[in-house]
Amino acid sequence: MIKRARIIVVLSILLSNVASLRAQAPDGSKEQLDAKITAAARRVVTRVPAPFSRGGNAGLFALAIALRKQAAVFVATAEDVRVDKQVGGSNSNSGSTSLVSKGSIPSILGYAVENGGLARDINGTTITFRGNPVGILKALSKSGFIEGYQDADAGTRFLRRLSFALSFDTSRGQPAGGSLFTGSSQQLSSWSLRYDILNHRDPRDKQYNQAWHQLVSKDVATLSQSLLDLDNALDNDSTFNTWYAAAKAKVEAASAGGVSEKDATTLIRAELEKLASLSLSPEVDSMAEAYAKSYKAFLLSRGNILEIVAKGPIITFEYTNIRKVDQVDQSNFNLIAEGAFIKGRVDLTANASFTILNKIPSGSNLDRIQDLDLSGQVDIPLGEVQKIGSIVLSFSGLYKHMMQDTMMASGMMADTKGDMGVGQVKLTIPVKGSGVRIPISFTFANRTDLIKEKFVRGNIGITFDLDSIFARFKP
Amino acid sequence: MKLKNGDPFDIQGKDGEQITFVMTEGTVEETTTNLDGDVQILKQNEPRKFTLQKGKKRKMAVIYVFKASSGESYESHVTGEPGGDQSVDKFDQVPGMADNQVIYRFEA
Repeated sequence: MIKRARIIVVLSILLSNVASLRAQAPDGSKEQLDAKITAAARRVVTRVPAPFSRGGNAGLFALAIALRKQAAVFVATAEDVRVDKQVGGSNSNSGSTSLVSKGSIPSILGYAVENGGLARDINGTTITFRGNPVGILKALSKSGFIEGYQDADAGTRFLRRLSFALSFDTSRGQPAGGSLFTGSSQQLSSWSLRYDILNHRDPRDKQYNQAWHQLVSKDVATLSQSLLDLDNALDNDSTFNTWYAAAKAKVEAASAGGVSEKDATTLIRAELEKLASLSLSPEVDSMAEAYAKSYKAFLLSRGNILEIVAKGPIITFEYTNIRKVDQVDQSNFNLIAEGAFIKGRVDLTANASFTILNKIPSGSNLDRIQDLDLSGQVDIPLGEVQKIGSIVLSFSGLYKHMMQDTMMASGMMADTKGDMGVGQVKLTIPVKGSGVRIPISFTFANRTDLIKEKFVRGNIGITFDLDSIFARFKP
Repeated sequence: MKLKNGDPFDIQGKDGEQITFVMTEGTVEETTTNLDGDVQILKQNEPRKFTLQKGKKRKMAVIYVFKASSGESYESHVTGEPGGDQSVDKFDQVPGMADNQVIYRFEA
């Protein structure tokens, strides 16, 4: 029987590392052209010798010629369809939208504002900062995001597996009904440490070396011949060589004059647009077509490897210290496992945890172990919808065995012992290419942590993930 | 060897000069080299050597594949024996970039 129905609005703003795994779209050659233009612009800005060199920009020229009859557009990346990131707080917070903790976290820093509890009777607003200390330190250093992902030594790689989270309950220390984030220790509702025991979602993981070697030996070998063939044809094309001489003079003059990266990009793009309008020899056209074909084959093969990588298993351990207001503080130990099944079409996450009291209240006969939890979530990408993106349908469930009654601050015992079951159905709808996601969910349970009453809650929210934006622009 | 107009990808050598290409640093573990149609896959610090002949132009395409979407890098050197200029190609991946392709031109 439905006792309560609530609409909970969630706003999550996610700041995370550009270095996260992101597969290329199989036909992402236009996106690659943009990246090559940016790389060329950076050479111009840094004033390397011969910044617009034929040889140093061989891939740029080849791709620009191969794509010159197509309109350049951005291509959505797989970041939009990632379902394995945990940015918000766990379900122990008074504000949470995650019934099940996911295996991956942002590589640098995540920020989430969530309103409404899922398994607790108290509904508050929780702000969670989740991040990786190594990622943050490197991102703050002059090396920036790009260098930030490089794991130079074993020690760094070890530390990169470690992450933290701090959750603040904004209602604490405020007048009744008030909610204001102060960041004070009073508002700190939980802190946690997480360690990746196993994470095979890094494309540089050794287990994928053979697949990469196959790519380099076959598709890239073919591509290298196509590149040489096209370059040889260009050597004999006077129209191209006239264009190149003029473009090189302009770009090198701009480099010598200290041009900005933005202006260098604009200049190179303008020169490539001129190239696109030229009528080149039939031999160049023929070789460009062969190059385009082998380049797309390479991107497809690379994308296939990254798809396998994106479905690699993750096993993570998380310790959470839960700071209660009216009860004894608690510690939760959670083992998180995540993997892909049914040929990678379904992402399955499982949590197994137990919670203990940090100390036994004086005068009570309570045991340390407070509850045992088992939970699971299935994420099913429903596929691309034009002008929307990839919609993800999720089913999750939580079983909590509460071992004993709860002692409140007043010394009164609350009748909490028993079993709690929570289920959730969630549909996550992205707004294609914007980084915005709209989760709509229904949560139902036989009780909350303190009150033995059934409930159903409706949740609708908006999330904003800057990863999708960073995927298109340099950091 | 000598870099023409300072261009590290346009190299003038002497007849009989031995050229060595090697990727020395970075996150890229393997690179594909194609010297006038002859493909060799090189690991980091594994050199590719060949000799220049007077009047014979040579081209070598080198393709670096980036596994991750960002944070990848490489550094490659081309040197001649008995000496002269050194060609250095130091590259940091632009986020989202799948590969980098360069072509070295050699002439004796």
